[in-house]
Amino acid sequence: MHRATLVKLATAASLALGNALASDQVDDALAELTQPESKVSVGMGYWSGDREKFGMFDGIRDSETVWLLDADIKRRNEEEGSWFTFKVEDLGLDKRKFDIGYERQGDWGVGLDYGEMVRVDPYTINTSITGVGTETQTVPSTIAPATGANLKLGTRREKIGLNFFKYLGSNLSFHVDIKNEKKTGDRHWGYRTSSGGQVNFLAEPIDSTTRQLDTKLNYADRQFQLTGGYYGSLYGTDNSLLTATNIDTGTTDYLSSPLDNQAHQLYLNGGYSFTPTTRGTFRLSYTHATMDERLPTDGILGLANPAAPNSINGEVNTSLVFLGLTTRPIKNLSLVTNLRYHEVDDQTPISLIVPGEPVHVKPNGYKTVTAKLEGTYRLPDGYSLIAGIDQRNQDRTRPLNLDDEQIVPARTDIDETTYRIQLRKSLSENLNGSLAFMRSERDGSNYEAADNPEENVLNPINIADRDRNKVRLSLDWVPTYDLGLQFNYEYSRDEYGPGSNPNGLTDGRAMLLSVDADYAFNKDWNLVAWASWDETEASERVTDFGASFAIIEFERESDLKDTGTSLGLGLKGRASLKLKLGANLEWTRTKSQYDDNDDPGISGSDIPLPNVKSTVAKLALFAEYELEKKTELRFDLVHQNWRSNDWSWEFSDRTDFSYGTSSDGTLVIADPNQSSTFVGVSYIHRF
Amino acid sequence: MDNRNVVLTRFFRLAILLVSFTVWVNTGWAQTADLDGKSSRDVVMRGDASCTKCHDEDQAYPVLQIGKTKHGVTADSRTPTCTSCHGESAEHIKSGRDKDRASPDINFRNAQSAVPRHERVNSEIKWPQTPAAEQSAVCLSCHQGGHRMFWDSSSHANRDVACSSCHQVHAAHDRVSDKKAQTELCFNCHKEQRAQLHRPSHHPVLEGEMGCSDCHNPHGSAGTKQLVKDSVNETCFQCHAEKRGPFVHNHQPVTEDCTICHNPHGTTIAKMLKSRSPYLCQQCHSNTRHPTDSARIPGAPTTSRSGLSSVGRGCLNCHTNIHGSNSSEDTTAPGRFVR
Repeated sequence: MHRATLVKLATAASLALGNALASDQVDDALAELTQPESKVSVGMGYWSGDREKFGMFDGIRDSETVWLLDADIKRRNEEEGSWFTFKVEDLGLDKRKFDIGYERQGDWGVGLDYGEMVRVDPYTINTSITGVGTETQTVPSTIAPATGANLKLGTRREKIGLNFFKYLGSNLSFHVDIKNEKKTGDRHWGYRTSSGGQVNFLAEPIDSTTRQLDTKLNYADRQFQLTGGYYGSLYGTDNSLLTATNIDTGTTDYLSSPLDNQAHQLYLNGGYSFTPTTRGTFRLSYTHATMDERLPTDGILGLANPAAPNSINGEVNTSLVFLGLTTRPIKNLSLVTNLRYHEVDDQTPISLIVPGEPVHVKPNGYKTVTAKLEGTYRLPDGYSLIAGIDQRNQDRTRPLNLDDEQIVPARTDIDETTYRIQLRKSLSENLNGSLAFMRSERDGSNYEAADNPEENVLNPINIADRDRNKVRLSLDWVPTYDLGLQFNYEYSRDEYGPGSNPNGLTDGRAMLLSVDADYAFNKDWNLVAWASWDETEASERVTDFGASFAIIEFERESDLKDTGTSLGLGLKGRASLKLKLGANLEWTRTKSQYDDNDDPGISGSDIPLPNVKSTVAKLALFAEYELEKKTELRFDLVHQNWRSNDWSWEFSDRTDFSYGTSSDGTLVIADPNQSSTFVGVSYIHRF
Repeated sequence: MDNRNVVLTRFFRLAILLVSFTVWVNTGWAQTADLDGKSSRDVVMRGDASCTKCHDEDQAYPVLQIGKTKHGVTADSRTPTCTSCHGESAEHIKSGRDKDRASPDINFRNAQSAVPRHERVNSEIKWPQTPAAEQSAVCLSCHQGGHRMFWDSSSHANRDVACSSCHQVHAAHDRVSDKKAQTELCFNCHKEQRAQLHRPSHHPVLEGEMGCSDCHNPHGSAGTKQLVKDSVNETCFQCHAEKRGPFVHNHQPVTEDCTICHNPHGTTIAKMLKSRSPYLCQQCHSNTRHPTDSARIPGAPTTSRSGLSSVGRGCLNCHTNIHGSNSSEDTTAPGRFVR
């Protein structure tokens, strides 16, 4: 049916109102179709049940009535081409967001936004520790589990942003983006007492502010584009040192916090299209980051060496040079090549802060050069063959005169080469897909011995020799107009070395299989469904050669395996002209296995780690009923369930984990089976 | 209702229809939306009359809604016309209707589309697809530069993904530009990340608090993994600047790459750790540092290192400041992140 809608509208209007009013009706109808629409939604909902896990990011843990308030206002002045926008999300929740803006399109604009984000600890913490929320906390002298107060630990971010842009002619524009984020709250923390070796609970106060400023000048014409700017990130904390006193042992310990730091970056990005098929790009950036705050332990008797500097005068300078070239030298061949130089130069002085052992400040530097070459050759019938090679060379620097402070073997050079080949079929209506194979080989210079020779039999995961093979198959098949199917399979295998070093990861495997389907029953109803299975396995070895390095005290091999199964189902449709219905189901089960071939010393009431199984299920139903044109009632019904036998906060008899042995007694209580239900109704008006 | 009433009702309706139609065809509106297809009035965009005589909101893809978008602001002289994106398309205009109609010069159909199939354009019509690079070239003729500077060298551009694979230009609401809604589109290709984000410990992407584009620039970047900043760590520091340091005691992997220990999309372990303590820690510290600390669950409160290596905060029960410490305290283990 391709007859213009205006005709139908005009006919209908004429029938009803006569011709004089018809044109007004058509204008209104046209405006409705072509001019921005605003929406206001007002409602109320109720959560029932337990939802410590699901409420992590909205702060609703228990039964609670909530307001459902959202708005999306858009107003446009057609003559000026200006926009006024005002958006409100989740006004009734602790994650509310506002965004207000005015823009004269192609000329200038300004916007202001505010957003909250919470993360609530999913456990119930019952503690008698005092001073939570401050930098001075006291651990009680006796164990008295479950007699303290229940804490609701969590963090809250409040971000205010301001942005502005102005076009300075047709090709030049200026942009400013400022963000100020205040983070408050307390995080689940703890420490080991210096006397008695007890592990006690603490709540880490994390009040801090992060400010970011990004200002840039953009130039763009059809052939040449350039962006230059400044990006600054400044972190300031309200806390620098937490004093923890354990009444039982009579000891006071001091725990440091991250200190104020800042990074200032200048950057220049550019692109030039030499021809319609050849383009070069570049990015240059230089970042100067410092951390020169006075150390929090400076001046505290016994905690600082009077001869040591009171600041590390930290300075890290990061440089990036990126050069890229893309070209299509012949019709069926396209090439991508780029070269990337990234250097993190830690210029922090090697100062002796702790004299006892001694322990110096140890700067780490990385100079990484990456080169990439990839070609795509287009074959007949929509096939493409892609082949590529990546080369990555990294120089790693640590102060060589501090070898005796090195506790993990290190390498000064890491090299990695990755080869890729892929066959793709695309541009087909019914069947598309790709088969890809990737191999990467990573090795490096000889290990620099750690202080203790026993450590030199280890391959640290981030610098170990590694061979990785990966295969990926994807298929997108549309057997009928109404049905679409997707299949994806990925498998990868890692092997770590060198073989002469027995400890660390030895190999790893990962697999993913997923199937997606979408089906249109008719023009009103459609269904999407997906399922995925994944497995990740890693084998690692620990060998204790004993003090003499002559005998093997014990050797443990562990097979770690995670499996996941996820299902998703979405149904949407229109039951009548006035009624829309929808359902969404998500179900995920994960299982973690820890198989050790030897567990020396596990006896008594201690047990090896059991498998952990967790299941998340969410069912959401909605109905939207049109009361009148542009006015709807929406009903939501959501049911969530979380089940887990995660023992992270339990003892072997499945009682709740408690901190301390002779003091503290803080209990951490995890609810293994949480179910919650939400019902909500909203009145929606569009205009 | 008896038969007589039905006949009268139908007659009455027909009469109204005829009279109204007669009145209507004698007005200017007949010329603006002519039934024979010779429309002379632009409806949304400049010069769209020859297109909107056929294309309206009743089609599978409601093209008139482009008027609600920034492309539809005619007061902005930079905004396109139909033909500036689709070409003059003379054959398309002249040829037959429906399935027999020739393709416009440039069509934005795309086999790699992340948009759900039932929302795509004219799925029944089997036009040859305009190659993805040519589709994107149309958009880039105006949108080149800025945060799309590195599009040509991006993975998306080199895997036949076009702008229209993700963006719905004619729709009032371009879902991929909406942080809460974009994830579904990304999942259409990125199945591994979908599986990871459904694991128990994940960034709040499914909860709508973050979008994929908070960390990744799908238009390409000079950073690794198409990240919005130059490195993994710089991207993480946007929200976790307290980890930037440098510290009195730096933990080397922290200074190198957060993803050595964390998978930001999600894992089965708290804090998005790739493996559980002590296994994760022992991938670098397995011999002299508590070599006999095998993983176990203790039967009761304990000060045993082994007993505390998995439960609670695991190794972090003692090594509290694992991301870096600023303590100058001369304890028995300075530099071990316990203070």
